[in-house]
Amino acid sequence: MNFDLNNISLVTLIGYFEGAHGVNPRHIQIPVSPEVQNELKEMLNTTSKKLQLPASAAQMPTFSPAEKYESEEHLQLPLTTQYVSDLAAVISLQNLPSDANSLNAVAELEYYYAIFTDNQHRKLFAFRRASQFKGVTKSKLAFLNGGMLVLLDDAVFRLDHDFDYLVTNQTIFILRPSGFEFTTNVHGQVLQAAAANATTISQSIQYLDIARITTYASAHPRAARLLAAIRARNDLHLIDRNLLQQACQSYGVDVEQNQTGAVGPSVGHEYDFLCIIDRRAYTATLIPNQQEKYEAASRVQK
Amino acid sequence: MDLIRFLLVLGCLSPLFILWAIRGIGVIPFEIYFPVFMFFATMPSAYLAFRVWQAKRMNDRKNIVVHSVTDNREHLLIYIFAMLIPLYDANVNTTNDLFAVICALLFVIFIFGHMHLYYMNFWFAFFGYRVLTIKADPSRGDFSVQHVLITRRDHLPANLEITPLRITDFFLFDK
Repeated sequence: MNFDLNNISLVTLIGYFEGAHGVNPRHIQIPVSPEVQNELKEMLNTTSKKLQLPASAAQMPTFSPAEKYESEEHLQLPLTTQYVSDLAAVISLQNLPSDANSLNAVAELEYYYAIFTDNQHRKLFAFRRASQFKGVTKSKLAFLNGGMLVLLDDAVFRLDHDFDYLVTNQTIFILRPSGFEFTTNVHGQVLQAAAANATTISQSIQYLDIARITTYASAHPRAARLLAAIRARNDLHLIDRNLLQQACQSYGVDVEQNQTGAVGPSVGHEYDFLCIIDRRAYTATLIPNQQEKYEAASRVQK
Repeated sequence: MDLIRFLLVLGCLSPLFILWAIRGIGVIPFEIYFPVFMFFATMPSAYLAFRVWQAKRMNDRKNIVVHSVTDNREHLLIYIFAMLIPLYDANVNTTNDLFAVICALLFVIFIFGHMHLYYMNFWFAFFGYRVLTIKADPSRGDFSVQHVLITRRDHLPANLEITPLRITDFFLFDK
């Protein structure tokens, strides 16, 4: 895991704030007392226990942007993955400003993260989305003061029980995929990279007519996520042209051949075509003469 | 201006208060001016020492990566010649003179605090500390900011990562 969870020497807390429509984005260090530092360490311990780290690090399945996940999972993803470049940029930020008063704008807090430094000066970043947090801060909070319940007017910060995901210098360990996708803008980046992903895929599957898929995926986030997932596969070059065409025929996906002989989906069949390549489209014939078509939101290879 | 910045600015003026405590101010009796000036000369620096101790106890630190550094020694000279000596030379023979000097002092305190010029403490130099400005990393846009570091190190190589104590959001102590 490349981090010693039992020998943490320094804990700092950073909040990411931004105004409406993404204006004035800022990462600000929030000074924390030793008690809060201990609570953040406790959150890290809870997260690493849930993720069964460091023992399970090598066996964790890889996150896929096209997959539908449960609220809590055990996933990992290399930090060098193209669509997490925003996250890589965040953890490389240096010499951030600090300001405890930044919490006066708590409504603008999008997420917070703690930076843990171990005794070998290695760092681990732990992120948490601030959605529930905001709900608490919007409600009327009161506390006992001299035997009387009085309203709390000061800015408050709600610490959670655990983090959504952890980031070491090489790997992201994901406990809550939804929190990870939200804070890293995975979907936005995947959509932006749709054309580049399609080009990369066409280099591995050379008989593929990628033009129509590129146009379609650049405007359809779900197709863009499928493209990102397909691009991450390491067996693309092994896909047989005839078997692909047979699978399309069996699933009812119309394919066309262009002037150069490359095959691609007909108009209106782009998404299903991508599902076939990502092994998400399947049929079941359990009732005589009635073939049922399905799309797997999540799948496990047996 | 928050309390700590105000005290740090007063700490920068401690040589002036020591000189005034020795020389005296014409219209104020010794029994009043001496303890008051000695209080102003020592209390802010004592508070700074307390803040360093407190930050160390609380492990209140920042992660800082050194990109480019400038030495602020010339600021100390400017401070001595532009502010300390003129104020010391001010004649206080009447009550009006006294109020004028107090007003000048308040202006200086406000400007120093407002411009984050509260790191020119004589005692840093006396105890062998250097006052360095660590520039913001320009490649990080507005996210990265400049800090002032008090350190005994002779050299801070580029890309060195340090975790100094946070005295204020801008002012750090390397310990």
